[in-house]
Amino acid sequence: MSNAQMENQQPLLKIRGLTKEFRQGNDRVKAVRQMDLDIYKGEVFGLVGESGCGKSTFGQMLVHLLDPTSGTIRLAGEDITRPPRRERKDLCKRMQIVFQDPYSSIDPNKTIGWLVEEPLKIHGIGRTQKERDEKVGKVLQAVGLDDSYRTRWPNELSGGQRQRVAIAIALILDPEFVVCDEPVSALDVSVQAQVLNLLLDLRKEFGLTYLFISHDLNVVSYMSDRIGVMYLGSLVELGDSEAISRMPLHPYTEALFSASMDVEGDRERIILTGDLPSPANPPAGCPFHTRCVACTDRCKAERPLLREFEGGRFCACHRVEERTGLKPVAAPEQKEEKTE
Amino acid sequence: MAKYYIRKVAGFLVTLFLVSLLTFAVFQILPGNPALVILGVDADPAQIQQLEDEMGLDKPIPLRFLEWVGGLLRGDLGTSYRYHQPVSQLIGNAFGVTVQLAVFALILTALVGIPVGIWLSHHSKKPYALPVSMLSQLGLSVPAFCFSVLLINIFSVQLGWLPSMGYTPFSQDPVACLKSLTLPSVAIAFGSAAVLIRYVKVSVIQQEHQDYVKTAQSKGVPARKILRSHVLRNSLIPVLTIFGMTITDVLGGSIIIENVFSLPGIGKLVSTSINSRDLPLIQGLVLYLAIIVVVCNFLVDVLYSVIDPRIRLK
Repeated sequence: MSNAQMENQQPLLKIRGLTKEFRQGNDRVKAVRQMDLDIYKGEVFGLVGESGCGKSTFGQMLVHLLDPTSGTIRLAGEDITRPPRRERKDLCKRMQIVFQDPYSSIDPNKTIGWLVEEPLKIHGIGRTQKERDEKVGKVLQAVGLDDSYRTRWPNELSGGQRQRVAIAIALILDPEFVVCDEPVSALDVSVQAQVLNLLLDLRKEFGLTYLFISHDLNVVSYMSDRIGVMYLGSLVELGDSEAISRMPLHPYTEALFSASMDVEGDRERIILTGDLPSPANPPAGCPFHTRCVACTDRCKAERPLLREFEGGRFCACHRVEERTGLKPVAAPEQKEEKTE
Repeated sequence: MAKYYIRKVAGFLVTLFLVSLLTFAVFQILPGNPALVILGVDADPAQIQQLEDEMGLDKPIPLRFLEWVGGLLRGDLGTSYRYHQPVSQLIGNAFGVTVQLAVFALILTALVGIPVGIWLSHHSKKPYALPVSMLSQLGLSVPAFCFSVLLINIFSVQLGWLPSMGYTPFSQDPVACLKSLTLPSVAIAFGSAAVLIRYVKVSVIQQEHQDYVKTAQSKGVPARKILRSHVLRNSLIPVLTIFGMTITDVLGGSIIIENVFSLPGIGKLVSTSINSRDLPLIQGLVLYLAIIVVVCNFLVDVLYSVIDPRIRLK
């Protein structure tokens, strides 16, 4: 999807200032801080970052598995940040999630047919058993499992098959938006591609919009139209998938790309030193400065904001201009973005 | 599926045979001459000789084992030295009492242990759950006989509601029978419910951290329904083992409880048989206890396979 197309469109999801704090003893840990993000209808938005950077927390807030501490989430213009109980249930029909580990995300004690049918019963969809059976059959077929799987138990299935079941469970309610929370990282490499392609096919077939969360940059750039890079609970870079892989703006994104294997050509490999700092005790200034190859005194003192640059790209780094030569887009526009 | 059960039953039979062999062997190794034990140290050698002949002690050991096993198969475990009654009959009578006690105690254990365990799993961090946790801690640490004495003091001595000892057969007076079993089963259940509470609590908490709970939540399944149709079934599987062990324990005769309340059950029989060196009776009881353990484990295994598809399909 091009930038021009997106500008004409209302975002499906409009997220502003989304923050999640967890209590850890007497400390308050900001797992996600002040995230602003628009996700457009029909796109795959890839969210990438190290484990512990808050990407799963973010995804789970969107589908109301976690309540945000502050901020707002709008779905097609409607505020769904803290829905009342009844609306919450209705929202399940519109927003779904697929988890990482298909071994624990489906109940081992129910047959596949039962598991896929359960959401229909909960939401009172399909008046007769026959009607529901038909729907279950259709979804199973869509994810590449034939009818014989209905009576089978989860432990008879391989990881890839289980993940297909998890996808079927997510799709049976016919949602618009699906959070894919590391859907292939628990699978064998040989199966990963199958499941990824299945997800892309299903997007077309059902007109889905994905938030695709992963720590694997290869997977994310294969899947996504746009990519957001998260570090310690906030976005450090955001932009077109292709543009980011061609020229990452943020040193962290650069390091991620150079660490992923199929990086082509002369780009030099950057190895990050040190661990991800604890989100309970984030570094002052730029959160990335402790591991950054391009760190200056300013970075240690002043936290960079997410600024827009030429070509519809966003980056939270003080040194974008001098390192890449890209010019920032005028400040007022950015303010508008913030207060919207 | 059928294969699974055939294998289980075969294993069960082999275990029983080994148990009988072992039981027999242990009592052959025991020092001392049973005839001497019965007649006393001052007995006349001729008398001892005669009794040994009667008891068949002069025959070779393999022959005696075969005779003993033959007797077993006919339901004949020999005659008690002390009661001069068939051992099988003594055990049978005591078993009737112990089974009633066990059923009572287990129902109480399950009725208290499972709901309280589930409740605690959700409220364990709340201040009002503290007394409950402390009570279950108490159940684990206070020996059953201490608790029995407390119960007797309150309900028999002070209030006079329930008898402090003795047993009335159900056929004679159902109400009196229930009354006579109430205090002992409460005493047993106090400890075993405490164990069960802890296991249920841990198991439920563990299951609720599984992603399938989140999956159900994201499908809009109400919390109660998640607990009922997903979490409980999965968390009761490990609890079944503990429950099986409790059953074995109680059926094996709660030696102390049955003595405190003077119930003529297996536990009481065990203690008197040991005190009076009643070898055939002890031998019979050891065999009985072994069978109870094996049977209970067998039943738990079968139950497992009913509840858990993962086991059924292996």
